[in-house]
Amino acid sequence: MLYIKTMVKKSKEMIKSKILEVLNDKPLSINKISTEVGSNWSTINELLKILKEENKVREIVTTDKIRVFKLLREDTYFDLPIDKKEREICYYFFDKIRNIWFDIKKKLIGKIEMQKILTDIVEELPSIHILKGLYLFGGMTVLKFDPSQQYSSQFKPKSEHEIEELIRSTIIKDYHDCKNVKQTMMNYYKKKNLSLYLIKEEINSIFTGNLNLDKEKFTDLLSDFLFYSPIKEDASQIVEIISEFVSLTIKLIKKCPKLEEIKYQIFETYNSIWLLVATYNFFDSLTEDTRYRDRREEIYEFYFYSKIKDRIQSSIEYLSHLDDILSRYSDISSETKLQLDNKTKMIRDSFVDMARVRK
Amino acid sequence: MIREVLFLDMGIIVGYANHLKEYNKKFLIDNIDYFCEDSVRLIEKFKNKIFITCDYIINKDLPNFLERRKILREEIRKKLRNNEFKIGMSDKLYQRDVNWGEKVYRLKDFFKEGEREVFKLLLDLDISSELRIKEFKSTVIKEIVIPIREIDTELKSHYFTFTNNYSDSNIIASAIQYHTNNKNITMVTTDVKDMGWKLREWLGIDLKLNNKYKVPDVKYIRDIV
Repeated sequence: MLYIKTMVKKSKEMIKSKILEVLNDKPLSINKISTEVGSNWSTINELLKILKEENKVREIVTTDKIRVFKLLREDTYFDLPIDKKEREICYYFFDKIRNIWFDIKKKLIGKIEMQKILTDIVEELPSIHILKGLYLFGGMTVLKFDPSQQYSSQFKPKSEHEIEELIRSTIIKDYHDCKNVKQTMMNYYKKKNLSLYLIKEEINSIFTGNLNLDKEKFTDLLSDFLFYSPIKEDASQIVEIISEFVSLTIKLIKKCPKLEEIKYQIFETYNSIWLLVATYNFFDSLTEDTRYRDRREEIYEFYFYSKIKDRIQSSIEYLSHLDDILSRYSDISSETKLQLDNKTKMIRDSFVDMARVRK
Repeated sequence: MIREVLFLDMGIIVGYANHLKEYNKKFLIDNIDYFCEDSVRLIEKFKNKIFITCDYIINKDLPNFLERRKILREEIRKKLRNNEFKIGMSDKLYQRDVNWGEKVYRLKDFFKEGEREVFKLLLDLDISSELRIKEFKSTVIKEIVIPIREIDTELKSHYFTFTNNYSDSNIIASAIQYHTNNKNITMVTTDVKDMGWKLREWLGIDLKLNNKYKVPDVKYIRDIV
């Protein structure tokens, strides 16, 4: 009896393993999993429940007609899949860059620094293909870097010496003078011409000072933040949110005499929106890769939809609070004035065509 | 004669919203009809009168105007970022919006960092205008008359046959209805001259409506400021 029980348990463990294996490439419905694994629907359903409780899978689509599950991965962002070859390549670079960084800078490399350097370098190596995108702090791979982990790799590039030289020269040329993570990020943003990220950093800096003293600069940065927001059609709801934030904040700048008192609320709203923008950016930049280009909708649905939806909701709530604050300053006694130079005023006059609305 | 109560049309509110304190010669856009200065002068000159407008302008036309401007601004932004983008993609924009958007886009050639600076200017104009409209509604307008649901359908349809403009016919109907009940308004418009005469003539074509309603005095803004 004990032997039979052990057989059944082992079999269940084997099926669980097989489920995790078939989910490795992409999310699947229960029916598909059942077909791929070769077990009946109710066994798969039961085991998926256990795997959910073990935090190894997540149900991402639940309808009357279909239920879809995806693999939870602790070592990738958004549980995105990564194949063995790419994983080995990343491990190789994590190890190489860490060692060379320490050799030059005499200190340990952090997560943000590693991701910047790695994405910077692989752009110079067309034969090395790893998935990467732009997220909260700029470029990064799908695989997370854990500074406390040792990395060894079976990947053996043909031009190992050239790769080492490239890593070394990149660190020396572009990041040697960086005293901290922020400087590394700024150098990276300037090198890659990432306008939105540079503006993000400047806005962050504004919040560390006195908002009452930096109103004009803050207004300019907000305008730029909106200007450099995504332009694709599928980002339109996100851009509306950004536009609403910028509009509300600039109105507060114009009307609120003590901006410093509401700085925290503005910052929280901005932070929430940046998280949303960065998540979309990561999705958008990832799907520029040839592997994902034709699967854009699928990638969005399986890996980003739920996070983006939550972040949209959160941003809308923050905006609602900001709007409440603005409504307290609804009494305007004098016309608001923008300080403009003469040339700009002359150009601005041309905007009066807006008065023609009913012709 | 200017009566005690002035009924303002949409063009005056928008003109006021876009008022620029320093007026300079316009060299970029030809043949503009602008009413910013006129609108502000009107409010100042007749500050002892009572200014009103209708519910249709406040709750339909103005929100529609602001919505279109937002859409247009976003399209201009996309074009400034990618010059292959075509302004006018949204079917909510009127042709005059698209024409204006194209002109704004071309202004980038006059700035060193053209695209960013044009957008900054446009954003500031939009936000300042929104604030000015709010200010106008709360400090200048004393009453909002004729709720939309009370606009006489027959009256507005009658005028629609002549104006072929849904907004105009609702506003005209609102002004006429209010004046008929109160007999104390002068309607001020940025629209064509001799509008009052035309409105009376058109009303006269329908005997039933002509007996029921009275057209107010209509003044073209430039004739009275």
